[in-house]
Amino acid sequence: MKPKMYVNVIHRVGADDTEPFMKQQQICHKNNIKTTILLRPEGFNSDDTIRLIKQEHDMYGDEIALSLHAVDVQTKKSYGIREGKIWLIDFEIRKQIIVKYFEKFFEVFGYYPKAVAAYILDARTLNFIHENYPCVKAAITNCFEEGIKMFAGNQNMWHLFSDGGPWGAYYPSKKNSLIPAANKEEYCGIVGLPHLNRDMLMTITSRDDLFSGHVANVVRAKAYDLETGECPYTFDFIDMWLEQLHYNSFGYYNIFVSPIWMTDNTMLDEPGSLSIKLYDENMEYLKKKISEDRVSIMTMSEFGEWYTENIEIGTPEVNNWRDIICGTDRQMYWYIDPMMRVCFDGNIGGAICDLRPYAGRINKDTGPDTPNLYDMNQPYIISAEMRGGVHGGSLHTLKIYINKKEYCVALKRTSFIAEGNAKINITPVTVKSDGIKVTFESVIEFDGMGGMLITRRLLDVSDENAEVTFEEYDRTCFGTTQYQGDLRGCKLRIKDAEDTEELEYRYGGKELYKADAKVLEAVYPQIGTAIEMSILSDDVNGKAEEGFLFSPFITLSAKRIMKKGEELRTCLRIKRAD
Amino acid sequence: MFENKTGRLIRCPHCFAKDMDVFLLYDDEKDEFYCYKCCFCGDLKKVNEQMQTFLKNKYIVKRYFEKK
Repeated sequence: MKPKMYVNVIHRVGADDTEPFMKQQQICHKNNIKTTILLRPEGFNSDDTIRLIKQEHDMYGDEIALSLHAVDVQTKKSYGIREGKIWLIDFEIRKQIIVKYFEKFFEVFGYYPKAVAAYILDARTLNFIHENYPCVKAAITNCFEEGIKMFAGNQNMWHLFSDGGPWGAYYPSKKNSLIPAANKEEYCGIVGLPHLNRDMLMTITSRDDLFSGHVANVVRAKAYDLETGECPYTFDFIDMWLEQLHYNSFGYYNIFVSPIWMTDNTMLDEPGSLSIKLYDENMEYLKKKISEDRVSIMTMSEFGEWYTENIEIGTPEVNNWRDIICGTDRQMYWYIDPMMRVCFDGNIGGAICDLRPYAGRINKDTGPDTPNLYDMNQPYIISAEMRGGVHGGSLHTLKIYINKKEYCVALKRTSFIAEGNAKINITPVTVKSDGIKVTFESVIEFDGMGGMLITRRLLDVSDENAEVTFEEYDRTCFGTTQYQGDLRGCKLRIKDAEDTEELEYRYGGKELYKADAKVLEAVYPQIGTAIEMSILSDDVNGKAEEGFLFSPFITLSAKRIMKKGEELRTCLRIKRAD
Repeated sequence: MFENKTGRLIRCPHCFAKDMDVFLLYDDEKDEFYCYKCCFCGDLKKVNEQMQTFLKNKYIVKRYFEKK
């Protein structure tokens, strides 16, 4: 059976937005698209809202689910709190509010909701919901890559930090809701879904809240024809998500546009009629894709059930995205498994530009009663975006020395050819030096549990007398923002066949070296993570470098003199620091 | 410094507009400059035009304390 993309169309309604909500519903139903209706808590007190959504459920089979995102005014008053975002409320109060809403839902509809949603739901909230309401099949748990850049784009006033999680459907871990579970015991029992699908390239190079399946957000980005109001990007966007079916056994897509965006009462200078027009066109396009048997519409809980019946826990997912909005050939390749999430950027020679280790399973619960407070960002160990990249920042790439002259492959452009969800071939790159041309290719193979086998093959050297050296170069750090984390306490290790040397990080700028190294390691106890570079080729010089305050990184490098046809093979593994 | 750095350092006009110094990389096969941070891409003419348009709108390049 050909893989399909499963689509949830989600509308959120409260007490005073039934008119634009019904407009959205009508657009969907005329295209035979059923929806998931997330009832906001204010809606419990509106007879009109309850009547309408019951009617939609009975007539079209739409699912009525519960929005937990924002607490209603009355409830806040009754608990004496001002905080309205559910994931930021003290957990003891949060639990009582969740119970109150679930029981109210039961009182109104005669059953408990099977799906819930918030911009962020932390692990303890998901565990609590599953323990008390096991009927819940699916939950929107995060806004993919809404964090630092979204914060900056909103004048540093949007306190929503969920960088570093999955972009698609996944089985959240009981320990951390943005980490895919490694096995059944670790799974929290509710399928995790993102709030919207995002442009997987603009998510790195721009604000991804402007480039998603949310048409009004695209209007907010002004990524439409200002003369005609046409927006071809939104169709390409759906097509690019459909492309991902070449690499994965299924696809997940959701459109989640709140009714307010269909009105003139927004922060946009465009009228609501433009968003309505684009919404209409998008639904028609989806209908066309349904008729081509590439898309299947489900409600949130239907998808949750389908997912648990069809997708094994621990299944990796990839995303091979190409630029569809800026007119370049740039490509980003994403991969996720229960131990890590990694992104490779074609514009920097196929280097790793973002790497989030999950192996440490650190606690990222949020609220005033946690050390994390508002910050649910999953720490990176590589973020070219936040912590420098090609010019001495965090990055994993290859350097080439041609007759001792150093060339960084990150300064070359390349592209990716993906094979399923476990392998990418990086298109051969040629580096030129004083008339000498050196061409090499790279292959990355994933083992599904945090391991990447990296093969660099020297394909051609125009001058056989030239000395060519490859250096596998890995520069890491840790943090959740642009600012450096405290690296004191980190460890650097280097092993050969004989012994192991270790250095504790003190910003001393020291280095460890072995002529025939076998394993290099950087240990980050702060995030319970170690990054291990195993050297699989012979005759490789290994070096582990401590950084200093103006350049606070740990650099691991494996260097080998190469002949035409030879390979430098290393295995990079994200593992738990024990 | 890497040997294959861009010969002449040219800043990305889009990143410059966001107050960031990002030096463009050069693709000799396509004879164009490209940004590794954002998605800007183009020849030198395009770089200069976009930079000039931005600067023209941002600054008033004349003496503030002009003699009356």
